[in-house]
Amino acid sequence: MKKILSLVLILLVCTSCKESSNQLEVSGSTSIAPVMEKLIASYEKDNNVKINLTADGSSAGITAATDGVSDIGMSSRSLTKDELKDDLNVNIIGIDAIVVVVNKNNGVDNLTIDDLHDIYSGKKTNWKDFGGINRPIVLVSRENGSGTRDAFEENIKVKTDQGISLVDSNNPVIVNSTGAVIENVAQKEGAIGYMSLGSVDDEIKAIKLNGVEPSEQSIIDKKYPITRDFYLVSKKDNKKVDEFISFILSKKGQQIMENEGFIKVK
Amino acid sequence: MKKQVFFETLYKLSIIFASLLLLLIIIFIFLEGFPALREYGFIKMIFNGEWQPTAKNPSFGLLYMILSTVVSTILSLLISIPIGILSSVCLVRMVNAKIKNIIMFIVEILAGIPSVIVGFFVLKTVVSFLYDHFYYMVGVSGNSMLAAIFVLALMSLPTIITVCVNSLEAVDPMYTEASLGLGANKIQTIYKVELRAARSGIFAAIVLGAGRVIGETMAVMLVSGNAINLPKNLLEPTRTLTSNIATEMSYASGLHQNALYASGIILFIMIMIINIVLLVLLNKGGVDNA
Amino acid sequence: MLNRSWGVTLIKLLTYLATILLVILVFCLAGFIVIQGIGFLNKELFKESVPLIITTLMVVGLALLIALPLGIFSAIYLQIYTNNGRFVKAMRFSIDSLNGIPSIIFGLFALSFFIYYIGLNRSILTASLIMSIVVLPLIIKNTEEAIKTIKVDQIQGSLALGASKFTTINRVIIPYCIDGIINGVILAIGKIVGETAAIMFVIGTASVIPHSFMDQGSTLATKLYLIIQEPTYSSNGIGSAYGIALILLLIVVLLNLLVKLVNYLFKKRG
Repeated sequence: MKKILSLVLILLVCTSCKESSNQLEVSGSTSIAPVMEKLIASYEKDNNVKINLTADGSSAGITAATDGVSDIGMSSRSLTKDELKDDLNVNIIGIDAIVVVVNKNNGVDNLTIDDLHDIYSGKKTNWKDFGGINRPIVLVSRENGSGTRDAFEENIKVKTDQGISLVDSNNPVIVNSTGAVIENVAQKEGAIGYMSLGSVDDEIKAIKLNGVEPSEQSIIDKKYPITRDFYLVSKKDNKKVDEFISFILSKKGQQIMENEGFIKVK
Repeated sequence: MKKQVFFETLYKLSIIFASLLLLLIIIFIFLEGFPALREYGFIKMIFNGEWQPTAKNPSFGLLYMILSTVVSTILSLLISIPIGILSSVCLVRMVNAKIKNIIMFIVEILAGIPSVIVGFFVLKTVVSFLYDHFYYMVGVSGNSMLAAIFVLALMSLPTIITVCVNSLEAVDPMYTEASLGLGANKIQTIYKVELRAARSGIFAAIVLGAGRVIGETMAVMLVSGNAINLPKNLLEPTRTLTSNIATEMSYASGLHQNALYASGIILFIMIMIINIVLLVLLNKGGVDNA
Repeated sequence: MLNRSWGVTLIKLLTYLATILLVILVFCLAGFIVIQGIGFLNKELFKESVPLIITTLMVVGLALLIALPLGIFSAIYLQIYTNNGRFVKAMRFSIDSLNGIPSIIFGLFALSFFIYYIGLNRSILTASLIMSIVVLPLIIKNTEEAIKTIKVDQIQGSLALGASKFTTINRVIIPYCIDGIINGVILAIGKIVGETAAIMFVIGTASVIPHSFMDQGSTLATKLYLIIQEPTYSSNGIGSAYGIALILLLIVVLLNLLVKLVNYLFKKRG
């Protein structure tokens, strides 16, 4: 009895402590979250705000910001016409490149965008078609709501007008994290995948696209074909949010972006 | 007298509160899932294989995922239940206490491993093995139905074993002595008398194990490949209902979200069917020792 | 078949085979975590892990605090105060069914009910609340099974002694059931410590030592999942994941030992 009463009491107390004006809720893209964590750590040192971070995907972030559930939504893809509401601010905070990664032993260092289209739509299924080893290609793709996937598929044109991805019917390995992409590509000789430039490590090989090596310079020169912007979505007229975003766009904030492997917005 | 009434009321309130909580969740799932069932159609959801929730004309066909869940559940339980019961028997009746304690110690700990870790383990072992031996087949990546079955069997084993061992140990030694006294050998005693005496607990183990398997999300997601298709063989990737929910829920909205809850309803119906079947079997076997 | 000696040998063989298989699997899995993780047990990792451990223990503690009395009392009522009528059967049925609900659905329920509807914040408290619901069926079922095994003897015994006081029965029954209850507790602890999907939407992602139950935090399991999602989250990347997995294993070992110790002391006293 007592336990039940005290529980109810706790619940009642909690209901009245929902509002906390010194807190910000940030949610969204899994690609942006790691660098956002660093930005938050740096900002919280000099400012009296507590910023909470949840990484549940670009689409979730946009929805949360639109509904007011989160103060800031992180998105690694551009917003659709339907998503661009009038009361929303959309800020670009950095530029990222999507790199195509393959297993170190597959014998291929360079692919064209058309090659990628053929591979991911299932038209070509063996690495020997591209000058590599004789081994069937294993497709690794991100999940349906991933900003990285949307940006990638848009660039290599594997989405029909009806919004259906051609990748799904080719037995892809679908994962919902960069870690899983790396794991799969590193372990399987025939695998191919895609991820943010900042996440590449030396277990896998990032190939050239159209002969261009993915690097800060080739992105700035606009030579590397698949780049995307990192967006922050928030409601207009929110002072605390705007202050934080100004920090991110400041020299200090942009330096943090650069340290984590992304390109400054200048 | 007052104390007695007090405690009785306490227990009564507990069960009522517990029932309300559990009822709340059930109601919630049904409320959230219903709009999808109504608009898209219950029959259509079950028998259609097209799952394209974000297309311009979205379709929410769960057929392939339902099949995937059913097959993986049945096959993994077919592995873990016999191994679970047999090894429980062995641990309780056929090895000395020291060995039993060591093994049980590890089994109990493994009951607590987060599914992500087990998934990782299977990914590094079974999936690698499968890929290394079958890479020449197009569409094979090691992430497969087979790997999912393996990981599910592995996850349900600790649950089944701990409950079975407990039940067997609780069997009244009177039964054992009586059986041996009547001339039955040890094996006969174990399998015909003791298991039967422990049957309620063993069925509980199976139910808990089945629950673990059907509801498993993370581990399966890591090793099953998550492709939405009808796998032609066990080596092709597949997606279960739970993996689907976990993968898509965070960004789903509107009817898409309702459809995912609807698949939760279907999962719930599945576990109810298993429970009904087991209940029937339990009662059919005669009166239990209560 | 069991009458013949070959039948007996066959069954014996199968039984041993199954156990050997079990042992191999179990040792491989445990060994995998230990071997992979041990390389990453350094000072850095421990510093990273202390808040995670504290948060995990807080969730386990509060969830059990709620679920144990609720579950045990419910089980007592179901077994002793009712007569297996339709209500009881329906109750048991719902409890069993709830066991099969994927943890992700619990997570969504927690989000929609506790956070949106009631208005709680994302916090350790909210995570504990949902976990107590998740492990409730485990506690109830295990307690019920324990009560079932001694019920017949004890009821006959105490009736023979003339004690019809339910309080006395409960004082007698519960000690005998401790084993079953403990089993339920161990399974519940295991489930809570390893849980990711049910709490990851409602516990937040903070990585500092929480000051109260109202703070956000990460448990060992949720942080593990976060690192696997994006290895750049942690200094050692995937390596940290293995290290945390090993620590998680150690925590479960410690908690199990603690529970067994309590069990032993309890038995010794009474």
